[in-house]
Amino acid sequence: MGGLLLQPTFLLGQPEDYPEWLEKVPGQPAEPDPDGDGVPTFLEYALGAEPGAAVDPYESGSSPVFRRENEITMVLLPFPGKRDMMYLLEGKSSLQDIEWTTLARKLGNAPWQSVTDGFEIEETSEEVTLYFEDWPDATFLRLRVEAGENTLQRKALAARFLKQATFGPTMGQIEALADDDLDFEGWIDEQLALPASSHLDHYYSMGVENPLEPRRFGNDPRGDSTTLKVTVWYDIALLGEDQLRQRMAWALSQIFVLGEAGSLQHFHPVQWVNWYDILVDNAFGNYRGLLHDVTYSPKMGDYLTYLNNRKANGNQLPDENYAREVMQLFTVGLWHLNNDGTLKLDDQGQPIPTYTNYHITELAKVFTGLTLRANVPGKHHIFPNGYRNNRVDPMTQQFSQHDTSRKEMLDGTIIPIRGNVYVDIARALDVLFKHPNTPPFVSYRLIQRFTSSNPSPEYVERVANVFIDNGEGVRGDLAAVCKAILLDPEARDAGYAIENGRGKLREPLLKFTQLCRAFHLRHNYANSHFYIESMSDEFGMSPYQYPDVFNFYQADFAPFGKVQDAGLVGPEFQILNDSTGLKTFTVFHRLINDGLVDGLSKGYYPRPKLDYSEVLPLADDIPALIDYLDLLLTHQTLRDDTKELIADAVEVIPSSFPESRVKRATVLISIFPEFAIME
Amino acid sequence: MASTAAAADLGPGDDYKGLVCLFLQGGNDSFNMLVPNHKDAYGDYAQTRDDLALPRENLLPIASEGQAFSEFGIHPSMPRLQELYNNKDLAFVANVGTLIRPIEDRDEYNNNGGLRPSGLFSHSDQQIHWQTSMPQIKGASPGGWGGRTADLLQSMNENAQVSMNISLSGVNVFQAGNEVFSYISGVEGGTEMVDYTDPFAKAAVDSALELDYKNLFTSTFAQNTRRFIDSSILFNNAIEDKDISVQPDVISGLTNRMKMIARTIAAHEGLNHKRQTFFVRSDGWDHHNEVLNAQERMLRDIDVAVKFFKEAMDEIGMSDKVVLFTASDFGRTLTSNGRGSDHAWGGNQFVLGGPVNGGRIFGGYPPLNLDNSLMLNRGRIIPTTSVDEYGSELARWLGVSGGEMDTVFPNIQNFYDPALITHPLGFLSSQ
Repeated sequence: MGGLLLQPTFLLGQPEDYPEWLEKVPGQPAEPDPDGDGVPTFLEYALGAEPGAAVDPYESGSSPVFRRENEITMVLLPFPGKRDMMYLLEGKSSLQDIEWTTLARKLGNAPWQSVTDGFEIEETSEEVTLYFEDWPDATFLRLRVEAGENTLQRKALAARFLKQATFGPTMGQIEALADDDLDFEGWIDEQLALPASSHLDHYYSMGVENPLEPRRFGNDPRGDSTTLKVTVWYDIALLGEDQLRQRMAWALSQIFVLGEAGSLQHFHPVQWVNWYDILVDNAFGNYRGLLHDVTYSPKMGDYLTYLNNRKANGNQLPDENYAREVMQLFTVGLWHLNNDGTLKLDDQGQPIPTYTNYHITELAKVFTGLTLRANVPGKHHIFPNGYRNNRVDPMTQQFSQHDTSRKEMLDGTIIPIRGNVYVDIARALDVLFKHPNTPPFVSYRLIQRFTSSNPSPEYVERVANVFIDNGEGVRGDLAAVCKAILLDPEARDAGYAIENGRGKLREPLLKFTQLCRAFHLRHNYANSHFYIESMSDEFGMSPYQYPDVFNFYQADFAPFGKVQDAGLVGPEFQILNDSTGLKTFTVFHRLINDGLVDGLSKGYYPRPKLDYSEVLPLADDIPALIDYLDLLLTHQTLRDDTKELIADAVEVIPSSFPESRVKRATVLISIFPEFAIME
Repeated sequence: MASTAAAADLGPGDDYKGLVCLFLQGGNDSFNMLVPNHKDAYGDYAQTRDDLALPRENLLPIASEGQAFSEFGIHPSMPRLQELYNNKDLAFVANVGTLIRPIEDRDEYNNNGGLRPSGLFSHSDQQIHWQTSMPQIKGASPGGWGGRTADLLQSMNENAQVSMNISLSGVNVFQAGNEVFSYISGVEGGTEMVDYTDPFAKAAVDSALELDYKNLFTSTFAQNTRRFIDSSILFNNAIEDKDISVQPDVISGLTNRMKMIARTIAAHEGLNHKRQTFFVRSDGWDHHNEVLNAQERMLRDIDVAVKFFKEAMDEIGMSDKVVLFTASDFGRTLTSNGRGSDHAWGGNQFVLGGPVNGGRIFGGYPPLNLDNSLMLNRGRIIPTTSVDEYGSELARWLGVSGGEMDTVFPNIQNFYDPALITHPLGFLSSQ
């Protein structure tokens, strides 16, 4: 041996628009090397140096160190990485060689990944060491840094974020956020400031004939009384500006479940969209206010059977349904939790119940004496002639049926005698809202909807702490909670994205909305709304069609196989089966090829179709086409071999059929696992 | 050891067995399906049911041993059931319901709330409890007793690539096991993979699903999709040439599903199945109003479908190897709400098949006067036979041993000791 020459070479794959790019680097001076140390600002930034401070990459703790001990060559790379950079460690045996071989790579602040056999990577929070033995060719090594538009890193990160926070991004939205220096917080703040799209207002704007009682079993091609609320849902999900609010409402609807199955009066859309507006209105409000509005909702009163619940009379005791669910599903859950969402255990190592049946019986007394309000003549969404009950306005007190005895809450709090309905409910909801379980319980479930099936306890605790205090002493601020979920390092940093157990299976409904939005599905002159059919059979989920109060899937569902074996959960796998798994692909195939055809939607012909005009110019250049779709649909998670598979299947279609090429590639991506998983 | 002994009890031969669950979703008003026809008992019935009582002269008479009286009547829409009963192909099981443990009477019910199933009288809860048979637990998390049975028996199906639990009505709790998940078939068979006839699309999909994905979710999704595609193809290939020539008297959605079940049973060898369970649902039994008219129509559908299934089994020579049983959320209130009946508890079921000791009513048919001690308000009857007893006799027949029974029915010891008693009700014993 001997004679091994280590020659670290820093060769920059600089952005083409280097000076402009430089201005976007936070805190960087607009000069290539202001400190005159011979190390360009770009590289200093990439290696994590202080802006403008002189750095000698050979001495600074932030620069790579090459060292050889015995037969092992080590490269120490003690910098965390910038999230908009890609780092490549490359080697070659002779300076005469033209090609460098990539040995390892690092995406942003993600861990290093070995690309070539013979590498071992040891990464701690302090530093990274790459060992390699028997690598005779590695006489020369260099660290190459790529950044800027050409790497697509920034756009991919924008796409990933927007998939988490919206019903699906367009390329324009992806580019705008990437150009805005990935200012995720700024994007969220803009969303928080947008006015809410009211489902009730939208319903009235549709101009349905007799909106209070649209035809019940009509053959109107636009749908009927049971499907119009779903039409409203899709109109807003697909075209509404307040995407984050609507995603939050959708997430909340899977906690405060109220489905058609087990409910009354499916045929009155006004009642349903008014219910959904409770979730929309409170999406960025306070959890305590949300609990209040939900509890007084006449629809919830029906669904969980406490409407007209009466105080004890002989052997008849108050209905316990809501008392149970408001604790089990809406606030504290079954078991005492630590603030990070993990179970508290007793001396024997067993989980500790939060309440007993006694507490349910006691709380059931609180939810007695609630009844429907009278119809208000002249108020336009109330049934005018009184033959339909008012299932729109909040329920009101029927004091004679309220149990005014003393009630003991789960934490020992006593609700004193002689309270009325309002006072007792306020006291009970206060106790549940302030219970230490509620912040981690709710945070965990919301995180599962947006970013990850298996958030780390640290992630849950960071969000729960925001639930406890938004920074201004307010508990239950859902806007702050939503922001905390999306901006958490575990949600944002690419480093987490490549851990094997991270991420989640996406809801099939959200894959569907993403395809619709990515390709600008719009109303057309024949159909001014999206009359999309129930997708329960195809997706296992559909708006308003929760099978029961336990949602489409449960928070702790673990699919067979590697996920379960790793002790992880994957709720959305609960609705993935032989039937839905394959029917979902059929829906995508039809949507992509023919638009909202029969079976997917009602409506007049011609039906709305996906618009491929943005991507059609790329159909000649198959790799470019696939890269475009990879960014738009899968935030650049398609592997090279997967892209080749798509290319093989696309290139058999002559270039004279550009739209067929686009559709073929899109259908394949819609089937591929990368589209289904939010890494 | 126990399971070997039990398997030996089953006897030699081609040991295929299939169990079919016909679930009447919504709560069948089953005290109008099986009615007392003895003079005094009919009097109690008529008085309690009031405007919901069927005229005695319209009942289709049957007789049974082992009850307080022998004269019973079947709903007039079910003449085929009457014939099957009289031919000893079909038995009834009376007053079955979800129970954690036996409840003696109204006093025990009132004085000990802890004995009651959670969410009693609620559809979602009782549907789930019928299928989990763990009514102390709310929700579907325990899985179903069909699924737990399959966990124990699936090893009999060597080389099977399609699940032994096959549903014609989507995902269900009954067939959800800890290890076995059900195969979901459509009424025409498996769902076809889109674009799979295009060789280029197929090649791309096949290759993509073969790749080794590091992310566990991505990898699981790929594996699942692979399995869905393969199962559907295998399933469709196996049933392709298995047709049933006998026709139902009236074709319905239910008879179409029954036909697919029959074809799947006929295809059991091709599927490498020695044990199968099936789940099929009939919807719309929640008759808060119009119960009489609706039942007249819907019980006829059941009548036609059950007879068709029996004839299909005869045609493929599987009558002695298949048992069909009914289940439903609950029975309904015996008293009328003026238009129909409301949610209640105990109800009547029937069991069909060669192994069934037909022509008898098993389980105690309860008195129907409102002042008897089993009667809760509005004529809700406390079940005298538990889902555990009903289901465990079926599971035992399918091959679950006494020693394993508490795996399938964790509450079983509250009702009987399966080490000592093999057939708690007797509708499947070899008498």
